[in-house]
Amino acid sequence: MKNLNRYTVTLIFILMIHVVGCATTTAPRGWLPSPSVVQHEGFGGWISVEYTTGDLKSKADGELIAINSNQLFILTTQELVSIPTNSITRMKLTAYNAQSGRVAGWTILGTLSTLSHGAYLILSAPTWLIGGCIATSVKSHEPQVTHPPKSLEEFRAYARFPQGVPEGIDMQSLRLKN
Amino acid sequence: MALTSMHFGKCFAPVFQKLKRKCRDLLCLTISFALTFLGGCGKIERRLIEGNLEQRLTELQLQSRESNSPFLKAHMRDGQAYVLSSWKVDSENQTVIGHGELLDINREMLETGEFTIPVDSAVIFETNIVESSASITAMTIITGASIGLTAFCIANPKACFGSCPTFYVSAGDQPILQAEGFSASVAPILEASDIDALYYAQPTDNRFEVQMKNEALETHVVRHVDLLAVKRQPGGRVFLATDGTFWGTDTIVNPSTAVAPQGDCLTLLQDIDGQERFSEADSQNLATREILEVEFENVPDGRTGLVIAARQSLMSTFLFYQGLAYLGHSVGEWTAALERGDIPLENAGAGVGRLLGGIEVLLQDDAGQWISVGEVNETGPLATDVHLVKLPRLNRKHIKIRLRLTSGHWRLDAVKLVALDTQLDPIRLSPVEVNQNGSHAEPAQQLLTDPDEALTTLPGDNYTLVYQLPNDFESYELFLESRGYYLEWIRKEWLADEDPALAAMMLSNPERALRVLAPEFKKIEANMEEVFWKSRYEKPQ
Repeated sequence: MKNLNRYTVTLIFILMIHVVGCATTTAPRGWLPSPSVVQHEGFGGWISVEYTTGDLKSKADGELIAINSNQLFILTTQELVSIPTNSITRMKLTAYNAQSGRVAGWTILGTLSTLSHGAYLILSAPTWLIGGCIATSVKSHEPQVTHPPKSLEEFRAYARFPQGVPEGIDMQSLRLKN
Repeated sequence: MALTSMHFGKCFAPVFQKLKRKCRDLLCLTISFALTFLGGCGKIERRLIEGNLEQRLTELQLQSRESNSPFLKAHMRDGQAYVLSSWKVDSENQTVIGHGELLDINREMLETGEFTIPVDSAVIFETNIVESSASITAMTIITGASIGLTAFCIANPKACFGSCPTFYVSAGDQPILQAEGFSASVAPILEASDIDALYYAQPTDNRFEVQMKNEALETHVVRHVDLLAVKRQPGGRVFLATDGTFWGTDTIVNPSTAVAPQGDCLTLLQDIDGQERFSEADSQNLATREILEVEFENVPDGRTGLVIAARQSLMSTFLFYQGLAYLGHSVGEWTAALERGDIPLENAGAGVGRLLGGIEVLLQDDAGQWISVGEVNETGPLATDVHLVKLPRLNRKHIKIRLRLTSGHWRLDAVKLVALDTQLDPIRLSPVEVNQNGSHAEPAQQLLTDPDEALTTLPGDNYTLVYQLPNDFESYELFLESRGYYLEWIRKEWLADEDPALAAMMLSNPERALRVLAPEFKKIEANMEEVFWKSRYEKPQ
């Protein structure tokens, strides 16, 4: 019983690490493309920006449209937002859906498959759980870019228009991906 | 009760077969899942290609040669973008050619087809490079190892490390396995004492440590572990005879010839050095015997004895585990019946042991007849046991000895002839201190020194037993006497083999069982030793 409690606590601890350690995004469900789709679609990544307006702290979430020398443009679900770059305190961009849930599923199946290991399950199941949780966490962070520490310049590649706002376009005509 | 066990076995065997299949199915699902996921799970690194025309052309040429950058996006000044697959660079005309789509600023498709894009017409080119993901690599390694372990457990469920407490003693620089305790005591009623020579022990002071480990999936009940210290002559050794007496000697003679059915084996049998002579089991009958012939020159005057250093192969372990597997769920009932005396001890698998036998020593008398003079037979495949078989008085300088043993059942390390100078009495030493995980384990010490109590250990347990040797510790030969019994844990994989009829055959008709099981043993014999030693159980830290 003592051992069972120890293992239960360990399991809960690992699961907590897993929950705390996984990257999150504010992108609408299904909005982020898969790794294979992001290679050939033309939209920007999903970005969350925290910035200050006077003494007020604000936050905007949406598709990264472009970054100019002094402004960053985000297309939220409601409108196009322009944010002065010098007011930005934090940013997090998610380029694609890392599908870390699949790694989690892989981990669960792998852990269950250790039932075939007999007594070695004592070693192999924690290996699966710990390794799988770390891998899931790492995988979930792969498509993310955060500022700080990354510079704003490094976000440019993930904008719909990495060249900056194109000449002569009506910015209000931009629409979010369906 | 036999009928009940049979019905029980018949009812539940399919359930356990099904469980085993489900585990395999689950692993197959994991592999399928992994393979499906591996197809599109790389990490994507986005790169922008900009700069002057020459820089762009150079970079594009480099990227076009990379197979991990299948798409090229060309961002135009007006916000439109080309997305090309199977693209290439025409350096001469400074263009990029490929098949793809032209997208508007909302990424609606405007055109599709073959496009030729002047490099200087795009503001920025973009590639998305598919890189391997560290997390997926790690998961692939874990999956591979897991598959290996599953395959190992399915293929070798009865090759896993087992057989009683193991005792490690320093041989100078590091502790080595020198003894295994009461290997044949597989039930409480079979509790017994076992004396093992610590042949390699080299105490460096009078504080002498013995590590006692439970490295198997077993419960060990240890009544006591005492040292027997026997004073020896300078330069001499002491051996334990099969009748339990200790004999000192300063004359040890190596064999002059040693021949097995497979050929000369003299080199292997000269020293107690871990270099073992062994043979393969018979493929038709595991009880098939073989004979080794050993000759000695310069036989000492007076009483002599034959020292045999040997351990069992894993044949007995295989048969023991197979017997437990056949008994399956009824092992508990069977053990209880044995305790109550409902099953005579001679029927408790002893038949198999009797048929396999020990190492029988035969001596050629003056008339040329071979007479049996003794037998060495200690259960256990882990540590080499050193035994002495006392020989009748000889009045010859040259003798021939035959060793008759079951093929594939014994691993012989050395055979030597010794003069039996003096019978000696040992000093019994109980542990003065018992430590576990670096701390003093007072309760364990009390259990090991109280004759009415016993220390119970579980897989992974590791105790250090400390003994106080006499001040002239270097003058003593050391032996370890352990007493207790152990209970083998029934592995889930074994239950698939549950078969009351075959269990009954092993108990009541061991001759037939050894023929029936010969092909099964032959399938795993070649690498069983390696698998066995790799499967020692250690408690996770």
